Amino acid sequence: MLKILHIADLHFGLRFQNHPEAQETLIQARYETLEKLVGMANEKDTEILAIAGDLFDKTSMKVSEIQRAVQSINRFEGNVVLVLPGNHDYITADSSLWDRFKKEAGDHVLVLDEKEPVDLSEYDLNAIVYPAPCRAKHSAENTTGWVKDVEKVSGKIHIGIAHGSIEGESPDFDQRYFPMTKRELEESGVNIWLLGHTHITFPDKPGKRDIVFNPGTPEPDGFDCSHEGRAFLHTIDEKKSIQTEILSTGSYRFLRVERTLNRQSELEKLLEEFKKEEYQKSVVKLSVSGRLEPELYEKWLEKRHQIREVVLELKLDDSGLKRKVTEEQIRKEFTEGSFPEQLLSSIPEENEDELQMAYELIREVKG
Amino acid sequence: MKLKSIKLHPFAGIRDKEFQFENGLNVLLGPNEAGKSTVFHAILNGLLTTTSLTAKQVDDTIGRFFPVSGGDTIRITLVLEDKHGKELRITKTWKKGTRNGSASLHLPDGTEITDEEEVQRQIEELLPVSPATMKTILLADQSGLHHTIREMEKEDKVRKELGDLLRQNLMETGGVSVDRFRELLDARYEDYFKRWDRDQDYPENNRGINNPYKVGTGKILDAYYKKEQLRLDLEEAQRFENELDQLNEQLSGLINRQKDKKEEFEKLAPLKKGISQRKDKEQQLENAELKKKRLLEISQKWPVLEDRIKNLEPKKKEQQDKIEKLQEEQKKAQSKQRVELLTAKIKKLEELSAKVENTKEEVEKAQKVEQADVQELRKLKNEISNLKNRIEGARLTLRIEAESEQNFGFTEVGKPEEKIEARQGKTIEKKASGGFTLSMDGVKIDVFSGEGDLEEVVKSVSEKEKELKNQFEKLGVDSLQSAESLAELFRQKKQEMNKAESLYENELGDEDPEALKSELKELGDLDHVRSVSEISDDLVNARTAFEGLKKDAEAAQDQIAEWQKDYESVEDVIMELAETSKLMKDVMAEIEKLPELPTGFDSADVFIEKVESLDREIRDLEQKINEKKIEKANLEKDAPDTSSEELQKMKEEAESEFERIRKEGETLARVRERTKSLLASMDTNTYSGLEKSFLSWLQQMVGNRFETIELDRDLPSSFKTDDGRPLTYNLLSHGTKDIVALAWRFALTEHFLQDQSGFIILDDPMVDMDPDRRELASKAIEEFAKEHQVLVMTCHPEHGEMFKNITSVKFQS
Repeated sequence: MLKILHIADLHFGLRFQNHPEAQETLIQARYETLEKLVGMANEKDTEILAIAGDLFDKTSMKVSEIQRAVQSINRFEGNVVLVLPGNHDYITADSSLWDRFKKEAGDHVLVLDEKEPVDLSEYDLNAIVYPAPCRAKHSAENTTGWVKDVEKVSGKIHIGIAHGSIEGESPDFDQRYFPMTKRELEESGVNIWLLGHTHITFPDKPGKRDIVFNPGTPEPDGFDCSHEGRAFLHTIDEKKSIQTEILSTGSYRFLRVERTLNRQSELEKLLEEFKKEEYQKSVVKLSVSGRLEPELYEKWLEKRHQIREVVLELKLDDSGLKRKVTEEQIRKEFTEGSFPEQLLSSIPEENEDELQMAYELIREVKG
Repeated sequence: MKLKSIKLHPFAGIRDKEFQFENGLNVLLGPNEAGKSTVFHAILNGLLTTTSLTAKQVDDTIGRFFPVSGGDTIRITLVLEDKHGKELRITKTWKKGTRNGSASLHLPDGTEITDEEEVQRQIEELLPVSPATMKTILLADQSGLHHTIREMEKEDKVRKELGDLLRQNLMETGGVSVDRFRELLDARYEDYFKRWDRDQDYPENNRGINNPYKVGTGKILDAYYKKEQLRLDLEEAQRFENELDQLNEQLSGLINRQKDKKEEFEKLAPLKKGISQRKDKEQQLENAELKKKRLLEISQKWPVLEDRIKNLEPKKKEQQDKIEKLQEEQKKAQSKQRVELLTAKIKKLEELSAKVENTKEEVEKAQKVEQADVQELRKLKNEISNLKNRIEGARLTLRIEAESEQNFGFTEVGKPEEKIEARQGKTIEKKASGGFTLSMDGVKIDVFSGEGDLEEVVKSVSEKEKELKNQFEKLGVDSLQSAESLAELFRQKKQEMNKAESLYENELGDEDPEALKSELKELGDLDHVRSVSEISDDLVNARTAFEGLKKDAEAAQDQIAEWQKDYESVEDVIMELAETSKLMKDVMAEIEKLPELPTGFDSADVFIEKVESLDREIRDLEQKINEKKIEKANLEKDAPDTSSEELQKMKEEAESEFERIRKEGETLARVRERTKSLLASMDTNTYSGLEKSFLSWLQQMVGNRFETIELDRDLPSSFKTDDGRPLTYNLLSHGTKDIVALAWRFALTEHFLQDQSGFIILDDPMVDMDPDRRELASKAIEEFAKEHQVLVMTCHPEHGEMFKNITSVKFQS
């Protein structure tokens, strides 16, 4: 039995400049999540903690940031930590990031910087690791090719670890991110592939025949990952069959919410929805559209700040939500022949944006 | 639609009271403002305010009408008459709190509606005009009435035309100032489009992100710059990342190459010392071999050369003797040449000497006439000739033609007198030189030429001729010609003699003929001696042979001397040879012990060069690696602090934000365009009917107060007083303004109601008018009430009394 806590893509050093309100929280959250992950691994008595790339967002990291990450990793109580340089924290012959990392790391922390098998018997494990480290930010070729050519000793568990996009799973239209295919990985002769790079989990329901695993980020960093932060706990038995459990790890989420508001109940439902706790730790991109009676529209204007107050950060686009401006309403409000009446009546109803804007401006002047 | 009655039960200060209204003019007379305004608000809310209100809306709209004395309910019942004369009843109840009120509408057909929103909708449908028009025109309260005028006052300075004012007034009845709206639009437009060129869809003056405006930018440009800046940042980050990738690639290439070189170097370097020693020893051996070869050669040649030197000495001596003999012979040959020269010279001198003697004799035998003598003769002859010419030049001719016979004596100068007999008809001609004398009886005529005295000349001629004759005699000649030829002959003889003497002298030179002869004698007979050239050839041959032998000997000696510098003797050379052979043997033994040259190398030099070049290459690579590292450090120094992926997201957000803002701006621009064109198209004609009706009501109420109303086309540009003074609106008294306002209300009400039935509420319309005008106004109101139901509210009983035709509704608080 071999237990591996498999994570990837923590991206320490991300700046979250486009999230001014959540920025500091999100930066801190990554460190806290790593702490939590190591605690989880210790609790579950895992032998291996595998970090499959992009622990750091860039190679130019501050020493203090590197130290903080390594300190957490050092607290792992299992046999060995495998750290693979990904495309963001790629390794070079003179890498100040990894030099520093190695300097700070404990004896049981291995930086997988060479394309050669690493026998883990030194760490009392009956396994061999086949790393595919990244040596640049971009590459049209992945670094796993050598693995299939190595003769695999029987009786050992063979663990591949790589970082890059997977055809059909990750967006990599220009084939710049060490592109791999599941098939080539499956045919390379190892028992399990621990991958990183794609922030979305796959397989999302691990099955018995799966050997290629990408956990997604343990702490989401953008709207491209809408689920919570995740890690994999793989258990490999003597027969080398793999059982994988998905662990929820992250503190914060990035949620896209799209709603149409045409009546009071919908508006109230939306306001009610955002009282839920899950939104308190979310960066929310909320798009609302629809047509509201003037009264309800006023209510929306009045209440929308409540949502902002609840969530970690709100990116609100309510430009699609309109005040219902009808002919009847115009008649009610403006004397026939008066300027506002003439202006509003002259705007065809289908020019909603224009009608809406003219109406708001008139209201503003009316005071 | 007409108002039949209203019941307040309760509403504001009224607990329960009903007011009935008739067609035509109704006057509500109340002792104070509060009472009539309560009825006014009850009608307004009864018609226009829904009962379906939130608690807040209740407070805001009708909260002030809840009884002060207590109670949470207010209620109004309105009875209206529709256009068919049928009654309908509206009851509205408002309570505090959210949606606590209720409403009911009894329709003429007996049906009742109690859905609050539906009740309100149906009421509004019954109204002859839109709810807004109802509120702002028909049911305007006191302040509403005066609004018209206040606006007119305000606009007076900028808008001279009444038509414009009226139009403006109508347009702004909704409480929206067109100018403020326009200002707002312009300000908003600026907010969005400042420094943005809409046509180009680009910043003004092409000031893109590389030359951005720093201040005074609109929202669109701000968003544009933001997205462009992010685009640049992204490009910069991508450039940085790619450059770094490249540098890393180059760096690892260099490091790998260095690693390979180091491995090879480490393999070869340990052999270098041994190979280098082997090379030296081999060189040593090679040198020894060369030395041995040379020594061998010297040892063989040295004795041979010594023999040769010995053999050459007698041959040299032989040649030397031969040379000496030839040199002696050569001297004799030179004396023989002298003998021949002397013999020839002596012979020549003797010949020349004989010639000199001969010529001397010739000269002595010749008649001696010198050139000087000839000169003398010539001179004399010339002088004589000259003198004779002079005499001849002074010749005179005398012609005598006598008329009668006459005798004359004629004497030419220097000559004796001659007698001349002259006869008639005969001409006597006489010639004389220099002068003559003619003598007749008693007369002596002397004639002289200009030459003066010729007598002396003639004398001199004869003297010189005598002298010449003497000379000829002395020289033995008879003429000048013979003297000349003799002199020439004499001269030639002398010349020949001189030439012979000169030749002799030349031949002799400085020498003495006798000495020459004795020298010849001393030299004796040398006929048997060979010629100089024959002897010279032999001598050259002998000398060449000698030099050859000498050179051979010297070369051998030089060679031996050269060897002697290193070795004292041949024996020495042989000793050295033995030592060298031993050395060679030793060196060969040492070489055996040294490592052999690895395969693939032609020589130790090639091997050593390889090791050294590896060392150099490793160091070169080290330097290149360091350079790349510095380059990389420099690049990383300016590393963007945000990754391209993060910037990509930010850029996309900024782009959609830009699009959103631009879309908003474009919407605003369309509203602005629409407003502009709407305002431009609101021309006079739209309102002309309204203005005519206003003027007609105004004239009714103004009476003769104004003499004229000046019309610009069909609109008044100003009112004029009876003394012709133009009266601007500003100068109108308050009462006059009320009249203008009332006329405008009537005009507007007619305009909106057209031929529908409806009612208008007038709140104390005549309070500020003077009695005359009040009179005219009350007539006008009565006139208006003929067509439309009118409710006049007043607290002045006397105002009410002015109306002839009213249904007076007494009102008590």
